[in-house]
Amino acid sequence: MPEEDLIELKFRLFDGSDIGPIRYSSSSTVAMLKERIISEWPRDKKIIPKVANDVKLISSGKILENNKTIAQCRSPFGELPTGVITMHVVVQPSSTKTKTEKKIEELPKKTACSCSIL
Amino acid sequence: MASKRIQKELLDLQRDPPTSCSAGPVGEDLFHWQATIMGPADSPYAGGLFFVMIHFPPDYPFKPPKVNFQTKVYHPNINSNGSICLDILKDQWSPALTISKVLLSISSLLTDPNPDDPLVPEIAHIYKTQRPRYEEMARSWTQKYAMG
Repeated sequence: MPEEDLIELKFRLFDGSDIGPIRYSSSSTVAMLKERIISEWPRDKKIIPKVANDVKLISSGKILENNKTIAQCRSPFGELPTGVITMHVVVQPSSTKTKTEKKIEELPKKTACSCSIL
Repeated sequence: MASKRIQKELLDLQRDPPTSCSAGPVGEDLFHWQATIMGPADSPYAGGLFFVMIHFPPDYPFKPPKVNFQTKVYHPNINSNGSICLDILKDQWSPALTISKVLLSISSLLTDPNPDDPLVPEIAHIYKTQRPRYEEMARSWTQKYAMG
């Protein structure tokens, strides 16, 4: 039986902190990585993504597509048998995307958060 | 020589990249890279993702890499072709610099434009005389072109 190819990944967040390193099979998809990132997201951060679509994964200067596997995303030059690969996580809530673009134009006023002292 | 050095930079970037940028080869050509720069939080480019192309010359690191924005940016030192006016990419280049340092310098150029050595004089003028208007324009371009 062939041994499963494991890759160690770290996810670097916007404030410089990391999630991981976590070992993955090289056949895991980007979508699976995103689900894991959401579940491991530190709760003390200012920005917390809610769904996997809110995050973008970036490696080697490219945005990784959901249906690609880690093996497909690896650079042909990055032959690192033991090294950790660090990917970037960018949070862009999907509500600002094209799907809801019209809605946003109709509702230019954002609902602001308010605090009340009890 | 050049390819060995570029490969070393690639490995360093994969292991421990700066928080705000990511870079690597586009395809099979080690001398042709792309990078992403995350808009600095303390600037009107916050929240944006900016794509940059990098071409290494055959005699790198003795000559600077060619770096161009692919994403439209409203900035006094970046023009509509994506050219960047930055001294370390020209006469101030040193072989001791790396792509990681170049990307970080571009990132700080986003935070602190240099209107006295502009590539786009109109934007430099607005930056100097009507700062809120510059910020508003830069924010709206970021939303339009860098948040897709």
